[in-house]
Amino acid sequence: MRRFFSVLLAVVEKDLRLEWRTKESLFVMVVFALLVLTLFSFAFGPGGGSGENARAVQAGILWISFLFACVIGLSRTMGVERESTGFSAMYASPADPSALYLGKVVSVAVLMGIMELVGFAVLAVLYRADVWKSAGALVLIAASATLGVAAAGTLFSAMSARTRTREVLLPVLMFPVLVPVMIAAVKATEAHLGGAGWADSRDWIRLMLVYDVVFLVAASLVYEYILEE
Amino acid sequence: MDRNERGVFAWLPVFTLVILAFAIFADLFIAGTDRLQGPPQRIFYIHVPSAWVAFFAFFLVFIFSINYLAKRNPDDDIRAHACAEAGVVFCTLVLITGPIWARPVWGVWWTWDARLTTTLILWMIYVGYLMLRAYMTEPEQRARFAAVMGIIGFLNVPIVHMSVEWWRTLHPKPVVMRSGGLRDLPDSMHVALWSTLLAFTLLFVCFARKRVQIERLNARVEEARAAREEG
Repeated sequence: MRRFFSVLLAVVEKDLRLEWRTKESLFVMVVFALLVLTLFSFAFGPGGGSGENARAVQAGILWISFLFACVIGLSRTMGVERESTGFSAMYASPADPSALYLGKVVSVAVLMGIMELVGFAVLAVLYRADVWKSAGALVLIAASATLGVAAAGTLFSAMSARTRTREVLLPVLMFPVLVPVMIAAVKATEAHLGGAGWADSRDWIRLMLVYDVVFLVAASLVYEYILEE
Repeated sequence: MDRNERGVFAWLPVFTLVILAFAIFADLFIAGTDRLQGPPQRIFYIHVPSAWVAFFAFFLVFIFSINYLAKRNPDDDIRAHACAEAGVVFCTLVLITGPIWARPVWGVWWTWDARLTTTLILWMIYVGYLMLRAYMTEPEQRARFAAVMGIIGFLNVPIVHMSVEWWRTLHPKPVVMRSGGLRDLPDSMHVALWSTLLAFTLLFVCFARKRVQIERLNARVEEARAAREEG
């Protein structure tokens, strides 16, 4: 067990150090998320339109922008593995493939988390959303959604990175599978931005946690077949 | 190998055609016209069996994918591929016949009902599966990746369905009227429904078997080509 976690942490450390030195993914992810958040304001009107629906629109905008930005981060982190023959190294190493997978999930989730902090701040400013009032709930929602997105994203980007079309295929594989997380994250965020609170969001958060567990277990089990050469 | 098929399977396509002809006849003439919905209701006999066959096909993809990863028999990969392709064909039929029926009966082409939405997502997952296959060249790696996709995609379906159901029921929109349960159907409609279901299932088996044969031949062509280049 200790060995498992040391492998996991080594992967996380490697990925984050690489990111710290190159600053290739995070920067692009944050700027891209910002761009999408701004662009949606043009599409739906300032602040996501007016009236009751505005909170729902904002929650939707927020998660769509996170999901899109995450695709960029994922393509980058797996692209690096492909270019530096990281996949062969991972396959050749005696480490548990599940630990390698979970390490990658954690490092992707950390990058997404940082991007989401900026995203929420921008939402508060540009869309005048009251993020502080329910900060605790939003952190919980973001954490459970991010884990799901990172879990699915890591598995599918490890596949798509090695197809002929490379990154192009990633959203096609990943988005349909992430529908439950998207619905739940948007609905739960909407509940807290609109003031409905836990009564409306509780079930959605549970759904995301179930999804996270199912996906992480299933993907950890099959990851070794992805690494094989 | 596959060229000289013997036994029941040699006659399967002919048998399927006969049943299919009967089913079409039953759908159009034996089954009575629905009093409320009128003639558009008849599309039900195509729609429901297609849906059944599509779900069955995706379940088979799941089973063959697990089998492949466990035993590494290339035939299981070919079977999974064949089932996925045939499944997408029937799933597409479901998504086409649904709106054609919904337009006159519900007044809209589409509604974000849980079953409709789940079917749409399901279709997208398996189109993704086929695209993943199409964009990979190395057969062994393709088989492994596709198997992973076939397993994960199928496991995901119940969660998708649950989330979509909640999504629609937490904020109720006009509830879609569905015809009563199967027990309410008159006998003539049962004949039409079940004969079409049998015909489509057989048709699916024919499609999938043909596809498996073609893929096996393809694999042999590849082998022969590789052998010639070496020699």
